[in-house]
Amino acid sequence: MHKQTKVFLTGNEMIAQAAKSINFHFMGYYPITPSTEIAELIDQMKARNEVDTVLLAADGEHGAAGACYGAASGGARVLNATSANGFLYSLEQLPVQSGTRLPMVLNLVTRSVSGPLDIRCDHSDLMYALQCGWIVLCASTPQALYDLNIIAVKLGEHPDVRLPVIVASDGFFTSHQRNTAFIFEDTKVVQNFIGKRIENFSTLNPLKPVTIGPYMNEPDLINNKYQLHQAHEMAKKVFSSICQEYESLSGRHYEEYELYKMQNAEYAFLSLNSSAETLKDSIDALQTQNHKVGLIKPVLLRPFNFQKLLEATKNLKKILVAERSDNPGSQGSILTHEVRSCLAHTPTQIITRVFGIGGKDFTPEDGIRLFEDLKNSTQLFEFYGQTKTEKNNIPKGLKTLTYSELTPKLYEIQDCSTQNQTKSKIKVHFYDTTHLPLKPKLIAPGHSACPGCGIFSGLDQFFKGLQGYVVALYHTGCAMVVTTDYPFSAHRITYIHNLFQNGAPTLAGLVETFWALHKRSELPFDFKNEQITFVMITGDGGMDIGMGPTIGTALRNHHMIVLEYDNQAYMNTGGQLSYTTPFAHATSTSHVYQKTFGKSFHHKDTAQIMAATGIPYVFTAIESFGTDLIEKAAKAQWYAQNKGLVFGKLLTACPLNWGSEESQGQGVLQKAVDSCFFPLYEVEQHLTQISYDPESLSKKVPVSDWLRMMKKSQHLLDKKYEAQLMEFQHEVDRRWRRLKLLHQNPEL
Amino acid sequence: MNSLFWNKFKNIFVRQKLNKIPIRQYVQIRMHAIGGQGANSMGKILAETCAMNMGYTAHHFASFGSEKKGSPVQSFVRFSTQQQEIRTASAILKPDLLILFHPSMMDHEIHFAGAHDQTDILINSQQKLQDLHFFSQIHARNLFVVDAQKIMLHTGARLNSVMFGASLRILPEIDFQSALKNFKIFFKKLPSEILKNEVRAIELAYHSVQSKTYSPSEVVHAPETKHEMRLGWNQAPIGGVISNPANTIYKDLSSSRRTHMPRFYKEICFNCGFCDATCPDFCFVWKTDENQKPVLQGIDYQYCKACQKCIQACPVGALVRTPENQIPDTEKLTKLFTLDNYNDDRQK
Repeated sequence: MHKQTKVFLTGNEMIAQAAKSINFHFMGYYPITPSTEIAELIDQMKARNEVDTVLLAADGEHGAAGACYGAASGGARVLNATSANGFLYSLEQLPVQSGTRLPMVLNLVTRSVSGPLDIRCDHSDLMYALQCGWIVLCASTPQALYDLNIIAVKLGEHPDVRLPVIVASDGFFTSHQRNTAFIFEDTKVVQNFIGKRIENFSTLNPLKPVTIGPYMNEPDLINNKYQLHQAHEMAKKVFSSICQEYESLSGRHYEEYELYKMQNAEYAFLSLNSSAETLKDSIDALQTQNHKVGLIKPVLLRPFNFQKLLEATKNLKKILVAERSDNPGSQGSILTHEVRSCLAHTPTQIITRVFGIGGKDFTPEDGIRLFEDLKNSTQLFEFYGQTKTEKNNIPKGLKTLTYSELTPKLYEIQDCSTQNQTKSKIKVHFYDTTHLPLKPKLIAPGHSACPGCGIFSGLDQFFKGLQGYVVALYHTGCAMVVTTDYPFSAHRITYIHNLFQNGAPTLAGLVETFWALHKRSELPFDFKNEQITFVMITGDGGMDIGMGPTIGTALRNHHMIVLEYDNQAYMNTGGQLSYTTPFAHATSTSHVYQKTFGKSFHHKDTAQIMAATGIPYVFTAIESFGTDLIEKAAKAQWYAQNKGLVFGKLLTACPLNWGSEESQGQGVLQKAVDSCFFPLYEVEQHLTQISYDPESLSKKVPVSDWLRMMKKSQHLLDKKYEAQLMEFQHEVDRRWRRLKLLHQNPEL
Repeated sequence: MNSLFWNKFKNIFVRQKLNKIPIRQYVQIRMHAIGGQGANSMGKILAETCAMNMGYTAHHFASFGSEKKGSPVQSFVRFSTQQQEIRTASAILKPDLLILFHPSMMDHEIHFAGAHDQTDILINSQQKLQDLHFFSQIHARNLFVVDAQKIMLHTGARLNSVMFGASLRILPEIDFQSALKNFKIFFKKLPSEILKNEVRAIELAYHSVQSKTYSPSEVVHAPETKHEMRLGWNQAPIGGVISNPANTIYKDLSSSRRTHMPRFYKEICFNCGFCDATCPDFCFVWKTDENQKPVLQGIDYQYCKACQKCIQACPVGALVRTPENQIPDTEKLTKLFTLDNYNDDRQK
């Protein structure tokens, strides 16, 4: 046995420790709770020069899986980590990878699949993994995560196997739980154990060209799948021998099924991951009362070893499959059906209980209660832990806003397009700006955003400019999460959420349906041509993963507004870099350390990308800049009503992850504008107009004046990062000069 | 333990002989806090001390939501002095030590769930032990109080340092010096002057915890109990549709605040509305005068998280940064809402 160090770490940290000793060549990822931490930790290790893994922050999980596939084809050792909908978004890539037989490791930190959106653990995502042709290992503790990640590399790359491997662990329960564990003192032990990756082919050897992923119809594909079946059969044997070898190094034993107190058991639970650990406590308590009950915990879930399960259950009267997911309409998820088919010709009775959905807690006491069912119930399938209520004590909210309340006389719109005397074709004239506080807010107070959150002051001022009915679609993100904590909602207008790669098409579908129903006189209310505006609210993350669908929607030019609140990173998942994070800023996936300076590439200019689609109106704005934002909102509404799609971008402060003062939100934004990092402008019917030119007013400041206000960028003022500061200033100035030219020349 | 720093404060804080707590084989600690108060770090340091320094088995985790400051957080620590393996990852339902980071948490029944006759309860409160108000009868063995506000004012330290120090006094299983060492390692990135203040707060809290044996008969009933609001499957709307929206007005966000708040001086205000435009939490209350002009009435502190953006935005200084306890109740306005069926007690 090799020398090991005692540590006190979480599941995610143990995955990172394993990754450190494996030293993967490549990791493609996209942020999603609760698995993102793994990429954060590896980025931190990279900054400290502890690993030399290439990290690729993809534009979505689909892209991340693609990047991993490419890297694996080149012979790299590859890691990915994801959860829930992120995993489902990458799903189509997974059979491609197993079918073309390219090994890698994917940590699936399990979480409930949306919707409604739930970020806690269940196994609804894991069940989708079982049909992908990948090997699936289940790790129930932080220690098992470390061990099985190391075993996964060797297992997947074994010449008789050659398959990608998923290591599944429970989100939060295991990923965020700290426990005592051991890691090898010397990473060489792990390096020697996994050995060098041996390739028969590589996409990176021009001397031996290969064709990977041919067009393969019948009669050939069945043979490819037969080989896949054979590889899984082989994997059972290979897994056992690798585990034996690993035990000799570590002293820790793994096999297909962990059997707990099964020697004389007449009854048994079968359950996956953390709840199986909890059930051990229940079983200890039950055995002191002389109940003959044990536990079967699958570790190797794919391939599913039928033979071993038959052996383990041969003396059982009855087994209860405790599943943390349901397959509606099927009386049990995949696990249930596999146990049922395995034990079909034995006298052992099988019942299923679905529990712990969406992270609902499962305690040793729950296990003892389930034992009642295991012993006495003949009901094959039932839920456990669903609750009933006696009375509805959920408070009703504010009264619905009437059309006239939504349409106070604040301003007048003047269409100057025929006069041709001004660049601004639509003009907004305010009657009396001191009346603005009287316009009812479309979001009620009581939302749970962080103190000083810039999203809500920004959104409120935008909504002030809209008259009449508003239907809003919110992408997944901070503004969504903090306003719709079920059974509460802060929205006073109709609100719909969709996953953040798909909001724009969803709203487009809704807009078109509105007019289709109107045409047939089938609208659910008496529509008298009042103003109604459809707005999509997204963060900057939603404009990464959702960029493609948003561009598609813009090209189709639906009558709607897309409004981005840009806080420059994935704040809802803990501040990972997004494409709008400025160059050299620190985020949880772009650490600043001795040899690293923060994000390695420049911020995305989403407004210019959207302007290039040729939509009638694009604007940028910040809160509290006079009435600028309200005017732009009014114009946006006019264009959405009359011409087509509008894109607006707000820069909003995130004191928590920017490391700026909560009270200074406005001041930080002002400096972003005055430094010309975030110029305020419009592109109205293809003509660019700068709304505020700090240069001509002699108010332009160097970017350093802005950067010093935020902890995420303060390091750039250090002499050590002078080169990065200059590069950033240069890029900001270049974009500003270009914008001025656009402003001056109507042909540009 | 005797320190120079503590000696300086002997006159301001009272050291009391505490009720004795026996050494236990297995201890379960549950903390209730607000995101950003540091309950997660505190749990981690306690558990790490148990696992790495005391030779116990231990584990720690927190109930996480998305990454928000200001939302409720629970932090759990289990440790066994007898090397018992800790396997369950479930929340602690029957705590041996219950720690409440904010006085307002005493109004909520849910925070006391599972407390039993051997439970010690540590509360951050400025009230004296004999004046503590509970919503109704609870179960407990000992009550401990630490005045975190006072300690934070004297040291400038953070809340979790105070709660950490106080908890070490009532956890005889954990060695104070080892825990302190781990605390210093955990916060090693803090500037040394700040770290020093945190350590001072730990010491002050350690010494100044007050205790009393819990006796149900002495408890004065608080005016109301706040029940959890949930819908069962028999009453939940299909698809999770919320058909009574804008009901977040029912929520009380005052525990998101730290020490200072904006105070409104109506006589200075000229109703420009800049505060209203910058407030992320929509706290400003308006009324119209006889000319239908909006006139600012004040701040609804139920929603104010004290970010103080409004103070920066006010051009005339009508909003002033003020310690929370110096704002009279008469200035704490409620919004003049038009409700469908407003069953909030505030309206009574």
